[in-house]
Amino acid sequence: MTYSAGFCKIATSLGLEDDSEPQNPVISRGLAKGWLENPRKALSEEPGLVGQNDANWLLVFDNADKPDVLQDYWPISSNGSILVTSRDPRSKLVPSVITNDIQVPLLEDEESASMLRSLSRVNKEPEISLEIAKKLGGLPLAIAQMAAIIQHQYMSFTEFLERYTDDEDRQELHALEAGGPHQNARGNLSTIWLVEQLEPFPRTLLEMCAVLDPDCIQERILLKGVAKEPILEAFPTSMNAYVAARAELIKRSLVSRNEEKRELWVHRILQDSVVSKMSDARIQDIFSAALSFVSDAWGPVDLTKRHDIVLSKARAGLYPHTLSLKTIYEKHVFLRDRETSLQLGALMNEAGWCGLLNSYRPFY
Amino acid sequence: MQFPGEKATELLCDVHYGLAAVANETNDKGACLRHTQQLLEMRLKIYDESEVPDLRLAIAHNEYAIALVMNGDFEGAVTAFTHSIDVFRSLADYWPGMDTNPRTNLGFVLWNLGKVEEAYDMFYTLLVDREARFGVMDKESFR
Repeated sequence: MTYSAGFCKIATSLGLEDDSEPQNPVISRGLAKGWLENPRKALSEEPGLVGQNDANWLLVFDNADKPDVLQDYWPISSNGSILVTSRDPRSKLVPSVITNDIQVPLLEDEESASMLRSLSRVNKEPEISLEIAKKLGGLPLAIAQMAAIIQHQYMSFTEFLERYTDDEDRQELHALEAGGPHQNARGNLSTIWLVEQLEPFPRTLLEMCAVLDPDCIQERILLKGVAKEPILEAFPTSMNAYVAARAELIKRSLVSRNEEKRELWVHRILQDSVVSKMSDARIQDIFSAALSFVSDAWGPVDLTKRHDIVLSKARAGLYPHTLSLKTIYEKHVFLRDRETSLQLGALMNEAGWCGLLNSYRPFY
Repeated sequence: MQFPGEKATELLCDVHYGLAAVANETNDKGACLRHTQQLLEMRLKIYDESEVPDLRLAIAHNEYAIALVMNGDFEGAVTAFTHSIDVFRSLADYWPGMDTNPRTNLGFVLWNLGKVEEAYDMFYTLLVDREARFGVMDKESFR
């Protein structure tokens, strides 16, 4: 429901307008805001008969992804409460009258498992429910959707975990709606992020994030692509383009950013969804580019400096990405050219040394 | 043995080198010997074709010798460490002390064989070379 439609409904529900007559959204908005700013309880059903006591009200702007529009609908009043939910981090800045903002975190593993058991009405196998909860990464929509599937398909947690561990089955489960989230939810795990609606630059940036380790994507890896000659179609080729693409992803809560460390984070389930929507050729291109960026970030290796501990520590943060790339290569890259395979082999070899260098060697 | 092209060959050598290091760390003497043998054979073949000794050949001899020590072949290890030192010293950019690793290892093996005087000489001359380049009590190794 749009804001204007919502305020029209408020006006008619409060008896401020006759719902049998055509409504002017601007007038309806004004009437509704007027009441919100001076709310009075009705004494009876007779129109116009209001009391002296203030009414309490709660106004909820749900899924307010265009926070700039809120200003037009914001009642100037301290007589009630307003709750705004949004993916866009900027929504807490507009209007300026917002006093408290909460970044809703992902659920902890135990909370997730408890929610899963509660919604699925399955109380057996609590340890398996915890394993499932970890795979769902604390995402309430994921938990709710999977709980509904478990319930409606009469599955045990063990059976569900087996299916969820299989790549193809998992994609099907993400797209399945089994009497799941309530009707106002934005969609299911396969559709909710609206990745298809992204412009090319942010979409490519997200695809790049989808093949790297999700917990810590150092922006210096992505900036390798900005600095290089274009090797990937629709990857940002300037800092301005990169920052704009990144902003779009943050605005839609597709990634979050640690400004101080210059790192991005993306949810694993979103990664799954993004990869599933890529064609074989696209995965090949994204993988090759990501491999090139990570290899560049890794830096050249001098045989005589292989035991350099400082260098090893600097590369430790890149190590998870090598494992992620290996997984993508094994599961999703079917067009394997020699150069790419060699480059991956070289990177994996160096990653192996990175892991080895923390141990003591009696012979040198 | 496969020689699938220069880049792939170099990568395979590196992989064997890495796997040998892992085997050494985990005390898997069989695997260490297998991988260092593969590594050395590949580097020797490359040398046979190029006739130019390189750092990787010197390292390969050293790694093979380490595997021999793990397998109790101390005399064989002495020979291999000596080969490594010889290759190091044949390099165009050799500097005294560049062959620290095989000389250190050889000294250790000589000591274990009871050849204490030879071990002492090995360590002493190496120390002189390193102090000449890096000063007393240097921290250049394994920084």
